[in-house]
Amino acid sequence: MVIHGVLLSDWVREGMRNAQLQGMVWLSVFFFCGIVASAAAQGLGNGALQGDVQIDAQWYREDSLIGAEKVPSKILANAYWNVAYVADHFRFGFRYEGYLGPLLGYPPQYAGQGIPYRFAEYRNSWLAVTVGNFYEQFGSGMVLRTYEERQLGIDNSLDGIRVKIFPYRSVRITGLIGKQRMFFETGEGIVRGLDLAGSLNDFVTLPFVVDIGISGVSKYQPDQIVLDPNDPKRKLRLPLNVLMTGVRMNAILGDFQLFAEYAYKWNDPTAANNFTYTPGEGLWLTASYAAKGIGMTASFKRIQNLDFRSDRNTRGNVLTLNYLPPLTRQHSYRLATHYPYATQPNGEVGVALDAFVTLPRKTLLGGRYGTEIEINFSRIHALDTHRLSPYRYTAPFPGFSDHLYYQELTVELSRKWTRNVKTVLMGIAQRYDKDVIEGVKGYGEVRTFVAVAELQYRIGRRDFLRIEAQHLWAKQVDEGQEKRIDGNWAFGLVEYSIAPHWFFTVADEYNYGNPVVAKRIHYWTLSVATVWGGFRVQLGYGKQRRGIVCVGGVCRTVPASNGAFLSLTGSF
Amino acid sequence: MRYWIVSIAVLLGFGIACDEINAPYSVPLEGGADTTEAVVQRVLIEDYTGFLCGNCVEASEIAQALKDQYPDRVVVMAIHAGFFATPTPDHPEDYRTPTGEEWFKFFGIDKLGNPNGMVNRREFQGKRVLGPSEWAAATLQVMQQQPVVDLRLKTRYDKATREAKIFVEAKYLEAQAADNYLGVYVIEDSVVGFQLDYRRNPPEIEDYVHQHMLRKAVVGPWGIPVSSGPIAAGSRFRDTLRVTLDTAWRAEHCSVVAFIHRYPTTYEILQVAEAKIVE
Repeated sequence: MVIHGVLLSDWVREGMRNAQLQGMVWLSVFFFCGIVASAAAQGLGNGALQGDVQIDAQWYREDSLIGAEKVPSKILANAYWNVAYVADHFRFGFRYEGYLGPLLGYPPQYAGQGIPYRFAEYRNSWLAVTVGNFYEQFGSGMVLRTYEERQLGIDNSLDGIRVKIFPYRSVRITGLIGKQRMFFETGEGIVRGLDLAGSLNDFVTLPFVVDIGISGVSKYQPDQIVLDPNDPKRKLRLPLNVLMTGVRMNAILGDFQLFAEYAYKWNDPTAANNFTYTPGEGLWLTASYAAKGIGMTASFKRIQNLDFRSDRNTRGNVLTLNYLPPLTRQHSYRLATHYPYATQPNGEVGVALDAFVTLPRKTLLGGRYGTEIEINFSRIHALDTHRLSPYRYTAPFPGFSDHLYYQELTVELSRKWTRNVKTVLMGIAQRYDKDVIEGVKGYGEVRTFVAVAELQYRIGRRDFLRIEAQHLWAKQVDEGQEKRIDGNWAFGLVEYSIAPHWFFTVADEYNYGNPVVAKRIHYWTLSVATVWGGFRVQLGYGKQRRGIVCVGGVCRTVPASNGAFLSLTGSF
Repeated sequence: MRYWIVSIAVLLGFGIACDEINAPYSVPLEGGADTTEAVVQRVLIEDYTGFLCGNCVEASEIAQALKDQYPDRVVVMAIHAGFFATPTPDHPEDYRTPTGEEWFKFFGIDKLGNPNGMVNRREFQGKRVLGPSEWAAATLQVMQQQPVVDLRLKTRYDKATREAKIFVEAKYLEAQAADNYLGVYVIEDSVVGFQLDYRRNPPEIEDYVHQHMLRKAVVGPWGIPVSSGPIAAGSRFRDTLRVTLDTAWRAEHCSVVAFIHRYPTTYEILQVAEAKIVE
């Protein structure tokens, strides 16, 4: 009876889900066709269809040694297909997404397929109105940023109405209201936003260029009962409407540039900030100087309780409303991504300095073709917080505490030796609080040094060779910690390309320094990619280590895997 | 015309609003207080957990706080299931049960991870699986409901054979379809063992006291039909079930939890009851 019951109920559940999805798909297709038809009827038939497609499929093998889990269906695939019809003042479009099932490491709630994104837009010289799904960003994103980042499995687009007005020269007014996408549904909260931006130079004559902006975003979520963490016989008085406001300024005077943004959020107790009533604050200052052959940037960032999302019950990358730009350098060399810094929205304060110099051509130091030197330094601390009551805390300004989250010094040298040979050398020294940054326990601070050498060599007119050698030294500061990191790594890569159609890559990431001898594993990959007429197909095979992928300080963990992968991207 | 549209943009945005909360930040819980009525709607909080789940202790505390607040109205069942409950060489203790694993997968909690749970397996705004911060609201909401069935439990325990007899009586206040099933389970309190708690440093707790741990399903994970056909208001059903306690469980810490749920239709739990095995 039990077995029968389970089968039956599974069937019922599956059937319901399919019916819902099919309904959604057909509704969206009708919606799109209807709009295109009516557009054609109004004489908008002279438009164009645009689109792009991406399919990522992976075949998984179980590998208990590297921790690659068994995938009963063996193959998982993510697929995306964007289509937009653009005609005169109108744009309509939709995106199909299918996760059958979601690639490992993607939120499993994506499982399924449908049209989670569709929109219609009218635009003329002074007005743009969008209904349906849209992406929007105010300033640097501290107050509002909805975006799609497939690598992270993030799509928090708003579904609603947006009106943009361009009343005078560069002045823009944006008003919006909507709900946020949550996988194949929308979240409960309603988001309202208003942004006013423009250049002061349109109104007054100034010796420098100044752009300013002011914005406000408020979310509404119905009341619910949340037990008071300090007294479970009581429930919290929750703010149903939470407002965040921001002001920003960007000034350019000759070779100098100054950017400043400040954001303030009223009480916003959520699961992500442990239901504190402390106001949120964010300050970001950047000053830079750039001239021929030299550039410098100094930045300061302070964040206090600035996690902002449209549902107070969610954590992680779900229903986030804002984006906190990273101070740290974003690396792309493989071993430099082992210990990436993730922005701590509940509180951090840090500084960063970047400088680059181009040593001129045909000088002793610069060589015949010139040499570039780039130096980055960043240091991020925990905020020095003081509890005012069980419900609130305060932090002084700037509020550097003794607790260091992250520090990095990177030096990069790139030099072109001959017409056909270029090299890049990079050294990175990091201090990394693994427990805080990755949300784990028992590791403490990790210190690393990464050395990278890259050679780019043009063999013939169309043949190109790229070789990378990298090494990562990593050790824990406190050897007495309960857990051990995986130690030193070495990495090698050879990429051979025949322009413009073929790319062959062999890479090996070797964890030779793992304290567990059995885990001193080669994570090798082979891949071949080909590009023809706007489409790129890549086929590969290999092992991937467990790790963290970050894009702009926002991260997700990726589980280990072993198997073949196929990806197709293209636009039409 | 332009000004008209500008004002629309502004109005859209100026739905912008803010509620500022000043102390006191919390108020006493209202509603759901014990009544003198004989039949009350009781609530089952299923807390899906695991000893390697460092965020689960916080969730268990939320469930426990609700039980402490409404001892006669709230029943908690801690279901150790999934990855975080899988034994490791260092911690070989296995608190999982086939029933727990089946529910874990069936209700899709495996896809969401621990800690998560259900409150009478009811859907709240289209969601059945709820995060810990949502349990209180759901619990209070369910408690406000008019009960459709009264469920009573009695037990008799034989020390020598370790067999417990469970007497179940259900009295319907409202008519029901034929989809009512009775599930009966054994839970154990005060099981001392390892647990991670990320709020502590170090997070490892060697002697954590696990409460309300699901041990066994007496009549399978989904139970047995209450009746062979539709149920009329006023009907009574009685049944006697037997279960033999595992020697590893301490009878004085064991309880029986029974619930009537709608199966396999909405899965909603209509009523729940709990009784100690050793009175």
